[in-house]
Amino acid sequence: MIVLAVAAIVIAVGFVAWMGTHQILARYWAAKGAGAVAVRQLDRAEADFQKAVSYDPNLGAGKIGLARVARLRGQFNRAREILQQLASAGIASEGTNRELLLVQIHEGRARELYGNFSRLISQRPDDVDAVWQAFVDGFEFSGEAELARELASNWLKESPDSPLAHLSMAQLAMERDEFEPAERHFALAAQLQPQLITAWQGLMRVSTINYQHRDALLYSEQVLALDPQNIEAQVRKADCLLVLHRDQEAMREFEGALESHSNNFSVRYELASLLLKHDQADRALEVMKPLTAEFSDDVAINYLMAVAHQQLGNDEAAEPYLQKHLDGRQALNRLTEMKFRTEPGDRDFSFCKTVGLAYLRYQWDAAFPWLDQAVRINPMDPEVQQALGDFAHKRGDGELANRYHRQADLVRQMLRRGHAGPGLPPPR
Amino acid sequence: MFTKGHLPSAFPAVVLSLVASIAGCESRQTEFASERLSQVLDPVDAPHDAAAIKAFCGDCHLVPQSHRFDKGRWREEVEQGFRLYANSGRDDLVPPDFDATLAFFRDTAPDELEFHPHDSQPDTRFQRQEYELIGQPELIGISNVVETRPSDASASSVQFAMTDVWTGNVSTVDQLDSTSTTLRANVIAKVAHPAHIEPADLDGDQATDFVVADLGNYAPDEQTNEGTLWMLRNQGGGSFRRHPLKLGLSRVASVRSLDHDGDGDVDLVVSDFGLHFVGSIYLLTNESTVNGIPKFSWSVLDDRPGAIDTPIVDFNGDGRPDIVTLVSQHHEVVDLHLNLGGGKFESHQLHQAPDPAYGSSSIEVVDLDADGDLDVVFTNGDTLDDFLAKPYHAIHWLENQGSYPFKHHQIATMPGVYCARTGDLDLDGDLDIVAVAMLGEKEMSKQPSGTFQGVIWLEQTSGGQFRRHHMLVNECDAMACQLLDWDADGDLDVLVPPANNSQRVSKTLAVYVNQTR
Repeated sequence: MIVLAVAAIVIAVGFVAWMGTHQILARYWAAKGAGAVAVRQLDRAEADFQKAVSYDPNLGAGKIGLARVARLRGQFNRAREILQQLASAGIASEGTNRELLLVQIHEGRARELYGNFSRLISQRPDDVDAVWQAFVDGFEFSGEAELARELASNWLKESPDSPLAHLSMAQLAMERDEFEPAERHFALAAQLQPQLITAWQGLMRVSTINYQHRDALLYSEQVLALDPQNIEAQVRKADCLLVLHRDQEAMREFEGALESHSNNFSVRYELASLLLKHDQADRALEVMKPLTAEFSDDVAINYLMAVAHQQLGNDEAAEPYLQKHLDGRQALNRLTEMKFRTEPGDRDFSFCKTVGLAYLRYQWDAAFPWLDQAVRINPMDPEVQQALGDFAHKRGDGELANRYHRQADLVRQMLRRGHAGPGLPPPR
Repeated sequence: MFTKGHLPSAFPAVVLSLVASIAGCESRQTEFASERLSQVLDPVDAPHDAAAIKAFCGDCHLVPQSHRFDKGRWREEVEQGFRLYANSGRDDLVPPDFDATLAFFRDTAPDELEFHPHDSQPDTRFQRQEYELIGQPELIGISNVVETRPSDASASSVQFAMTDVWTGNVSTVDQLDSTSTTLRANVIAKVAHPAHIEPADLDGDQATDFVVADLGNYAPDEQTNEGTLWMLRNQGGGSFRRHPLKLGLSRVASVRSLDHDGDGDVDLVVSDFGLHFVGSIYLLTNESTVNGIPKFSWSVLDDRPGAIDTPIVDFNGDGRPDIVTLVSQHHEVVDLHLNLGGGKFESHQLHQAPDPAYGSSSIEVVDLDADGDLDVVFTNGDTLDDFLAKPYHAIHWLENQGSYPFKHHQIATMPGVYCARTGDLDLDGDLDIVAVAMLGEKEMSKQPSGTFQGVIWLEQTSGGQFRRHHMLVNECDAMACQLLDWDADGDLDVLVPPANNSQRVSKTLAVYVNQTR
């Protein structure tokens, strides 16, 4: 009896301890996630919040954090979905409603909801930046750039030491191609908060635009110090190293980028080109292998395959690739002629679709503007949605690819049912 | 609820590792970062003075002359200069202030480039005839024509090979008969964007093969190295088999054959134009032939990008072929590489143009003044970079006076001139010149009708003096021309195949038939 009682006590204590540990860990990860949001390391923030809710699924801060991450990524539907889950579970709080309001403001209803500004600011003195940011982004998102700018200036006056305010000013300047103020505000943001990854990314992009490759290289290293698998920074670093004639280091960077992003075909192509430049045809062929099926008609990839085989002394193996390359070149010539003979005003859906699909086949990285234009004219064409998904896949963005492909399926289903609605927005 | 003692033993380790990771992040802030940020926030003024501007803008090439572009164009030119410096990977120069640099060039530039009327007479010696081609109905950008030895016995038949840089067609063409207005084309290969073709018996079987210089990509592009050197191996019966002699070059503009080491086989000189940072002139020494395909060892004759062409001549009469090179792309030089034997060459500059935006476009080595030594005739009229006609585009003569550099004479201006060829057109015993131009319609429409001439010939009247005759006005649609005796009457006719940069399809070739005989 006593033994049973002791055992029950031990189990109860253990359970309470286990529960308590989980709550502490959940709160810990939620706080850490919030920290990551503050420095805009959204991948890390999402992972932290996910950990938080894995320890305590009812932790509001974890769910709200996840919603905030989604909102800051522009995934408004997802943000709303997460917040609604909280409401359905009966654990909605003031924080949930606040975040929901910020979602609405951010997604473009800033003008309509501006009456809430003061209340939201005073509601959480530790979270005022989030309010300013949501309104600035909301005005920007709804096309009211001037208001966004004015509001960001006011934000900066109110909080001159807010890295996020500087970041916002920098991003608005970038939108207008005003690179000098953009660089200054990015620099101030980075100086005020060295962990703010988007500030370093901004500096990296401005330097690239200004052809300041040495600066871009060093900024890319800052980004990578904060996010070692940031593919944009990995590629930028490698490209800068190439410009600076540091081919071996560039090769190592590309190899590293490929390890973490094996589906990034641009990285594969660049690495293979570099390997061939340094007479490493065997390795180049290995790197190119995953490309050959998916890019079987791509002129550049076929040419690279031919070069690799020729370097290995096998002209016979090179020939079929060369023929495909030349066939592709002819097709691209026809496209150029078509474009030349069609005035921009006459470039209708069918024209854009034809050009976009052909580019996707022969010179994939030129396809996007045409497919994008086509989908804007007619979002209810499954083939174009599918092609945009294929483009995203070729660019190495699997998530976006899946979304476009799902959208293509949806359009097909709608068409099968004879639905002719107003069309679909592009997937976020 | 519970105390620290109740936590699982892993907990402190987890917390510590997290704390360590955060601290680690913070410590990653490099010294560079704060230093660089300070520079961004408190920039040091770049130099504004003319000396600094000249030092920066005259390091890779001569300091550009402000009158070469109008005021409106200079921003783009200065931006390009800064961009190219940045992309060169160099950091040994001090970039001056951008606005000061722009002002330096723009302030003394003309508002508009002025085109003066040419002192020119309408031609009466030539009669233009159009010829349709059976077998090649679409002609867009004929970049090169080379006369080849007639393959059959008919003495009157003309045979030539040509490349279409847009369609990729490489063809041989001959007359069906001397009276027909139709020609027979045989497309012997389709490649990407062929710029130049050279006949040569590469496999030593006594049949003419061809070597083709293929740009790879029509639009210049630093990243795409798809330039190819092709061999078209004569299989007999008008059939040719395509072999890539070398893939992965940057932008092959021309290829010439020679036997530089005198061992009886065919060596080659390849102009890999490249773009800003890549490209060279290569000397290919024929080492062996395997299954009819020559194997070459490659060496660099000139490591500068921008090579246009490399005519081969025995300049000093020592029996060894020498190489004259025209290098454009801001170098804008004509050089002579004297063959010393044993693979050694001695280089001399024959001419350097005064401006990096000169646009050198073609070259021929002849004894223009009939004084027994070789001179150079070259043109500058390339507009494929900025598509702008320039009043200073011209045909030039570099007179060999026995020392280097040669004496420069500008013979005639001709906006957009792409090719000049010499021959005795009026049969008076001296060399005359024919030249063709290519310009876009939009560019031509900016000037009054009659400003631009598409085909001219320059009649040499007395030692180095020329009288200009225009054969075509307001149509500048050719980048190549060839002198040949089309009608076998003993005088030289002018073959002018079509070329334009707007992908307009032509169905005919023009021949200006000489009426002297």
